[in-house]
Amino acid sequence: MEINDNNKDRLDRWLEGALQQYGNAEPRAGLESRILANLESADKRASFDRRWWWALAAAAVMVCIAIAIWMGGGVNHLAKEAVARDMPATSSVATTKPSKPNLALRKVVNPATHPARRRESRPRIPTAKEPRLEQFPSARPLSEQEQMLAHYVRDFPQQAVLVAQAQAERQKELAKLVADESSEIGSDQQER
Amino acid sequence: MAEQAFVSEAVMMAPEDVLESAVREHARLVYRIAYSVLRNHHDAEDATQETFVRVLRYKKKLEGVRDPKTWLARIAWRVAVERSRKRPEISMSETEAATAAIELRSQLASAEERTLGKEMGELLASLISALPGPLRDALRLSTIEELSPTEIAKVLGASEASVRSRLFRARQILKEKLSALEGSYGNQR
Repeated sequence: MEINDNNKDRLDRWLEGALQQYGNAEPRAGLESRILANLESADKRASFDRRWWWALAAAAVMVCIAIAIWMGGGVNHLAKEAVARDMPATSSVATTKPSKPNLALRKVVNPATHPARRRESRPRIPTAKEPRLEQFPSARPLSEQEQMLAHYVRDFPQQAVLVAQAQAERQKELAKLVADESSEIGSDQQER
Repeated sequence: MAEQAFVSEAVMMAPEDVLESAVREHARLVYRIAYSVLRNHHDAEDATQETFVRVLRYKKKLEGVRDPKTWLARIAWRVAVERSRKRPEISMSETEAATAAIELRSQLASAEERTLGKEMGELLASLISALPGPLRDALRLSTIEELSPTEIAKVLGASEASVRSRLFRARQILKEKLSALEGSYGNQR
């Protein structure tokens, strides 16, 4: 019993000492300096990373702005093109109805959301230019009589020429008679 | 024990200086906590570095920390435990255990106090590793002389009474195991 107690005491003491040694580990010399150096470099790395993130964010914002400007310009250009395309058609019917701006384009370029560019975004109606037609007055479809005449001329050209010459001579004669009659009337009045 | 802030209210220090003073004051404690879990000087130093790098994130808030010692100890403990999970458990071969048991018997026989040899250290480490989690954690932290039972309780998030009870149970189990080892291998000599 006494030997057993003695053994327990010795085990207790041994365990106490062993646990003390177990936990009392000594770091290599200069641990604090190494930690501080590491912290300094980690801090620099972190601030460098932060700067990079800011730079990347700024670049991304710039790219977004550039894209927005480009898209806006593109839409304006499209609007102008669309208006120019619509103009000839609208000018021909300008007397009946004023031309309506394209609704789809109005949706894209909303003047309320872009007050600075309100003037630009408003579709400009260019002044109507005079129609430059190859034939003036514009060609119209032939009437029924004209069509019959055209058929006759095509089918009987020689006779048509003779008829035309006869008509021309007859018209000349008529003109001569009218001129004679008017001269006679003039002389009678003078005599009176 | 009165809690001490990183910086007394009368003295205003730059965050860098606060951090530096924390390193100078508590680096050894952090290292020991890491070593008690990892049992390797290289890993313990890496864990110490990681602990202070984590602290660096709170650099601007350090002045507001009420009990920096316990706060740092808790971070160090978490870092060490996380690292230990990635490593294989400490285990001893039969031969190593036999050698350690023989040495234990000879040490117990002599009255003088000896330093813990490599085999004995490994034996103790493997016995502690085999303890149930709560007992093991309490015992590991109790081996660090800088930590009181109150501080251990704060690190582990338990009550002081619970920590004391765990320590008592852990020591009992260790003694039983050591006694059994001494009995089984000690007579072979």
